[in-house]
Order: sequence, then C-alpha cells, then structure tokens
Amino acid sequence: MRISAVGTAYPQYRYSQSQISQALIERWADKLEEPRLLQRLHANCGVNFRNFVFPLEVYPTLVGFGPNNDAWIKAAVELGETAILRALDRAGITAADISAIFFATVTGIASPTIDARLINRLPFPVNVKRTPIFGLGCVAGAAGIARASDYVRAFPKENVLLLSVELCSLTWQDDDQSIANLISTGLFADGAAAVVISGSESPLATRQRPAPRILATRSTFYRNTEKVMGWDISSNGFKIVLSPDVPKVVEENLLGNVQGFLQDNGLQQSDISTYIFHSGGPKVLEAMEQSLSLPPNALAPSWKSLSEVGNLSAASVLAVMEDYLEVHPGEPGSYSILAAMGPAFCSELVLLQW
Amino acid sequence: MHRVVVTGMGCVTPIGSSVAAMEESLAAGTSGISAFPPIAEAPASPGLRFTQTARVDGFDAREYLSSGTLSAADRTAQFAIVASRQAALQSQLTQHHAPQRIAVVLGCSTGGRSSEEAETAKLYTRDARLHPLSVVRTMANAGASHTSIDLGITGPVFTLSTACASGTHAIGMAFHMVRSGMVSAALAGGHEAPLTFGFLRAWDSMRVVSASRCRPFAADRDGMTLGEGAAVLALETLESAQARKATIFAEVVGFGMSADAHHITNPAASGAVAAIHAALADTGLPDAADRVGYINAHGTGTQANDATEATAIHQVFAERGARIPVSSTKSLHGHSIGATGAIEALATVLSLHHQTLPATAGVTAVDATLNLDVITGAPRKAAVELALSNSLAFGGINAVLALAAWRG
Amino acid sequence: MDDIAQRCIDIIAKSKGLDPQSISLESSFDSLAIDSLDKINISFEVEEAFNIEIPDDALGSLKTVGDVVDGVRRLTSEPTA
Repeated sequence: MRISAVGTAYPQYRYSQSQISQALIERWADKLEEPRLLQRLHANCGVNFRNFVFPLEVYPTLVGFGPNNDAWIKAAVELGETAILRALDRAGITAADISAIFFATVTGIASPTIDARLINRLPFPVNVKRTPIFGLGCVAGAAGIARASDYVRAFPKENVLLLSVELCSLTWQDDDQSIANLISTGLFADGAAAVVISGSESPLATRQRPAPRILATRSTFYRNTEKVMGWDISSNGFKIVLSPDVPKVVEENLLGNVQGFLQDNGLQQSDISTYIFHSGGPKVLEAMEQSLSLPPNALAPSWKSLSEVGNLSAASVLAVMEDYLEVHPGEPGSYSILAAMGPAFCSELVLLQW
Repeated sequence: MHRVVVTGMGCVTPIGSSVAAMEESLAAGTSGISAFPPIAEAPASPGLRFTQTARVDGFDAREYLSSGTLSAADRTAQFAIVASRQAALQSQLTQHHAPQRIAVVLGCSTGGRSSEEAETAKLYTRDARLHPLSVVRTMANAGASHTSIDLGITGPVFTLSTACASGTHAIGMAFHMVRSGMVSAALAGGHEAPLTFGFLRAWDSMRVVSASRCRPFAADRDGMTLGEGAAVLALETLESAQARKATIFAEVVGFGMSADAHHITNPAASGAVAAIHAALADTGLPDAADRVGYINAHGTGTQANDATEATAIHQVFAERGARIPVSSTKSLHGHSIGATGAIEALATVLSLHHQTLPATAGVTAVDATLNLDVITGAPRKAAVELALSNSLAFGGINAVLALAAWRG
Repeated sequence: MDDIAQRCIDIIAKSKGLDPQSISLESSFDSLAIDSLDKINISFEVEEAFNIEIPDDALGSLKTVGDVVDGVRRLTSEPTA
C-alpha cells in the first residue's frame, strides 16, 4: 500500500501576517486591552502568510454559529473538490476509481457530510464507502492515512481517498480575547488536502512516479490530557482550548513513541532519512526537533509550510507530504516518518519507505 | 412530448444585474440608456454620430469569477456565466437533473469582441505578441462552454448565432429539445458585450443608430440604441418541475422561425408573419392567435423595423392587431444584439408572472400610422394568457416565442 | 529583494488580485491558488514585461514564485540567438 498522490487547495484570499493582525486589532478595537500583545503573539507564530475563504472584511459580517457553519459547508465543498481533482489528476485516475472516502475535519459540521456532497458533484461510484471523521483535529492528517491504509490492507486491489478540509478562519470567536484565542487567530488558517492511497495490488502500485509505501502505523493515546487541546462548544460555535503545555507533552512522549515504533519494525532512528511532521507551530516544531535530536533543517519543509500557509490543522501534514512528493522525494529505499499530534492528546506515526 | 416550463431566470443587463433589479426597473420604467464615457482606445473625437448606449455599469466580474476564469473569459462570457448561475441557483436545476440530461444553449452574435479588438489592435499597431488565451476569449461558444464548466453540465452544449435573434433562437431550440425529451432541462438565453470602439463605429456607419435614444414606435423615432448584457432561462419538463414542487414562472408553448429570403438589411413583413404563424401553430392550440394578449416586440426604433413589424402584426391578427398591447423593452435595456431576444423573453416571462406589461419608455407621441396599441408611460395591468416575444434579425432571420401564463 | 523579483511578484499579485505583500519567493503556486489558466496568463505577462519567451517545457516545472524569478534571470542573462 502506497501514498500515490497528494493534492492541496488553498482559498483565494491571501494575506501577510501583519495585515491579518491589523485587521483583528481593528475588529476588536473595543475589546483588546493591549493590542500590542496580539501583535507580538501573532509575530511569534512562525507564520508569514495565510489564505482564507473570505476577504478579511467579510468575517465581521458572519455572526453566530449558523452563518459561519453555512459558509463553512459551501466553502468546504468547493475547496475539497479542488483538492480531490488535483490529487486524482496526479494519480492519473478519476473519482470512479475510488472505493472509499475518509473525510476528516474539525472546523465545521454537516450532515450529509462534505464527502457526501462531493459524491453529488464528482463521478464517485454509488457504492463508495464513506467514513466521515470529526474531532481528531490536527492528528487527523496522519491518522487518516493510517486508517485508509488499514482499509487497503483488507482490500489490496482498491484505491481510497483521504480528504481533509479545515477552514479555521470560520471558527474565530469575537468574544474571546484569551491568550489561547489570540494565538489561535495568529496560527491557524484555511486549506484542504486530498490523498490517494492505493492497495498493494492496485494498478497504481506499479507506476514510476514516487509513491512511498506505507509499512506500518502507530496510534498512541496520552491518558488524562483532555484539557491540552480541543474545542469548548458555545452557542457561538467552536471556542479554542490550547494549553501552553502542548510542547511539554510532545517532549515527554515523542521520542519514546518513535523509538518504540521503530524498534517494533526492526529499525532505529539512524535509519530514518526524513521526518514529515505536522506544522503545529514554532514551539511544537522546536520540541519535535529537540526531543528527537534532529539536525538543523531536518524539518525545513514543515517550517516552510507553517510560514507560507499557517497551521491547517489536519491538512498541514498532508501539505508537507505533498511538498516531499512533488519537490524532493526520498531516495529509493530510504525511510521517512510522517507524524502528527492532536487533541486527546495523542499521536499518530506512519512509517514510509520510498 | 413534454410540456416545458420556466423555473429559473438570470440576467446581467443595463437595467439590473439580477432579475429582482430588472423587475424593479421594468416596473419603474427606469432606462439603462445614457451618454457613454470617453472610449479609451478612441481618439479624442471618436467620429460617432451618437452619444448614448445601454451599458452594464458596476459589473465587477471579480466578485463572481476566479482570476483564472477572468483571464480566459471575455466580458461576453462573463455575463453568460453570471446570468446562467443565477438561473441555475433559482431553479436548482443542477441538483434535480442529471448533468448529462441538461443542455446549455446560448445565443451570441459577436463573440469575444472586446478581446478580439484589443489583441488585433496590438498586433496591427506594434506587431506585439498575442495573449495565449486570445482564441478561447474570442470564440463565440465561450459563454456556453464556461457555463457548462462552471455548473458541471455535460449534456448538449452549444452556441448559435443569428445576429439580433440569437437569444430567441437559443431559447426556442432549447424548448424543442426539452419538449422532445432529448434532454430533461436546459439553460437557454443569450449574451453579448459588443460596445467596443470598432463595433460602435461599424454601427455608426450603417446610420441606423439614434442620435439621442431609441424611441420604438414613436412618430419621431430615429434609430436604435446599442446595448450589452445577458439573460438566461432555466427550462425543464412540467413533470419534473411539479414533482419537485419548483416555482413555475411561465410555460413555453410555441416557437417559430423563418427567413425573409429578401435582403441582408431591409426586413420583409412576410418573414415576420411566417415566424409568428409558426410559433402560434407550434402551440398546438387551434385558437392560439385569439389568446395572444401581449406582444413584446422586436421594436428597435428604426423606421424600417417598426413599420414592418406593425404590418406583420396586422397581417397575422387582422382586426385584433390594433388592440393587442405591444411594447418594446429595448427602450429600457437597449439593443444588445445576441442577448436582446433573451432579455426580452425574460421580460415577457415576468409580464406573464406578474400580469403587468412593461411600457415603452421615451415615447411622447406614438406613430399613429402604425395603428398599434403601444404601451407607453406606465406599465399596464392586464389579464394575459398568451404572449409573444418577437426577434427580427439582420440577415432576414426571424424567431418568435409563444409564452403562456402559469396558473398552477 | 531585487527589481526582477519585485516585478514578478507584482505581476502575479495583479493577475491574482492579491496584495504583493502576501507573496514571497517561497510561495507555491498552489498556496496562491494559481490554476492552469492563471499560469498561462502570468507566463504571458512575465514574457511581456521582460521581453522574453518562456520555453514550452519550462512552463510545467514552475511551482513557486522563486521558480519564475529564477527562470526570468536565466532568460534575461542569456544572449538571445
């Protein structure tokens, strides 16, 4: 089973970080006690640019959970479609060749889910199996690949699709000026990514294009860390829970998780040539580098993604994966670890061989 | 044979870039004709004998279209996409019909005229390289193609070109396609964006454009006023509209076509008579002529057209000809060539839906020799069952739609 | 940032209706939501601005703003045949 292709899609409105900070300072003019605090927190996010589904001036007109979620559904369908078409095109197949869809998001809700709405727009088979996933948050990019690979292990002739659409800009809360929300509005952005995962006997498995094999996956649940990250749900929608302890949780757990996972697969850390990590934020990336004693620039694609498009929640690690596939694929035979962490708190590791 | 109804409408016109805005302008008699601003490409003295056009002002395609589509689509195709989208949205056509069972049939006479002129001017004046999207910007079918891409419609998609009758022919052909069962639904209409310097000069040299503004059927009429825009109707079978409880705005009951085979510019009443007769016969109603309660005339405001059209009306309707209310909405939205028939069909659908007939604007004294009941001043309330929308094009090509009020 | 880079960024910004401030040399075409039609348009505008001709086979390999700038540098430094 392989990652055959990744396609990302970003919405058309793009801003520099300072433009976004300024817009929020104006929007919250009568709410912020210290505008410079927002500016400083935003400047420290490692984010230089972000894309949003609406121009910045439109957001204040979307008041309440209903209008925001309606806008989310409409935009998620559009962006999801673009990402899927890009991934299918790169894989050289069409929607008709897909037998299961895993759809992950944490920034909006819909029933029928976004994947269902896309089946009405693209020629997926009517027997396509759907697995919508809500709430895994940032870990869902890696966990989605893992669950999709579990599926093609059972059905090795088939191709499946993982779709992640995250429109974080539609979760911003006007009545929350907590540090967590100031960071959240400085870090998270909008984007979508679709991944084609093929079984070992799929016709795609024999193609020449770089398509790393998925050798193994590992989920690890960190007990009693519910308050580290997630949403509180209010009548206005999703309110961010983001503890300063996130880097600490990473430092305490990542090395042990990676070592245990590699050991179980007969490998050690020196066998790994690249690390395809979720661009959570500067502190998280630094914690990952330190805990695994990585050389400088080992996570450069993750840093670049963070700088160029912000944290896209589940879609981020998939965007980094796309960069590896399209721009610097691994040497044949070399190993990579793809990893993400997210609310629970938990981690998901995926061992790849190019 | 299926009955065919209108379940959605869209438009971008000089009197409104939405159906609601156009309705308001028709009711208030607000004209979209005004003096045009200086033409960027033209010399300070542009050499035109007229000063007025009907333009779609304040249309910012960036509000609707991606930058990629914008760079590939001429203004005429941009109008088509936006009007089609409105019609599809109102009718919910694409949610209820399989994409391969929907047709897109649009009329367009001049293609991507502004792109053509801009690129050609660059080539002729400084041997510059041409934009790689020039071909797709200028092809006449661009509006229909972009619409199919935009809405994911995969059935029959084509553009037809019959000058000033294009939009009417398009709706008529789509009507017959839905009626026969070839498709179950269609987006049909016309679009045109011809107000370029070269096109204005070409019309100027024909000497048929009004020095002031068009006054159809007026005693002192002195020509037409050029315009631009688009209108699109969503058509579908009555069964599907009723099954899904769609709002029905009118029924399309007949369509007739003919050619004068006479003269490339001068109209002959015989051709118009034949087209009206064909449309009435196509309704299958033996007394169709007696039921006609409104005619949305081609009414360009030229001496020749209005006189010929009046003659044709009298020949078809005999003594009733003087009593059927007639108006030309071109006095409000101008003559937008390939789009105008569709804009007028839309105005006719609205007339039937609201049972209110729009007035011909700007007419102080009707030409009494025409002996027609021309609606002037304010719109007229009337109980109308059947209405005609006439298009009599250059080249002696005629198309007439028969539309019926829906009393569901 | 030098003149070539700034002009490329300005062309892309104008074509996409973006603020030039929101574009860096590292920005990928995907992140700028540049589709295949945008790409044709931008390539043409760049050719016009620098009076160069981008070879057909080079078009497909353009993935970031930096790629465009590098390409322009190469084409403007080479003597034309």
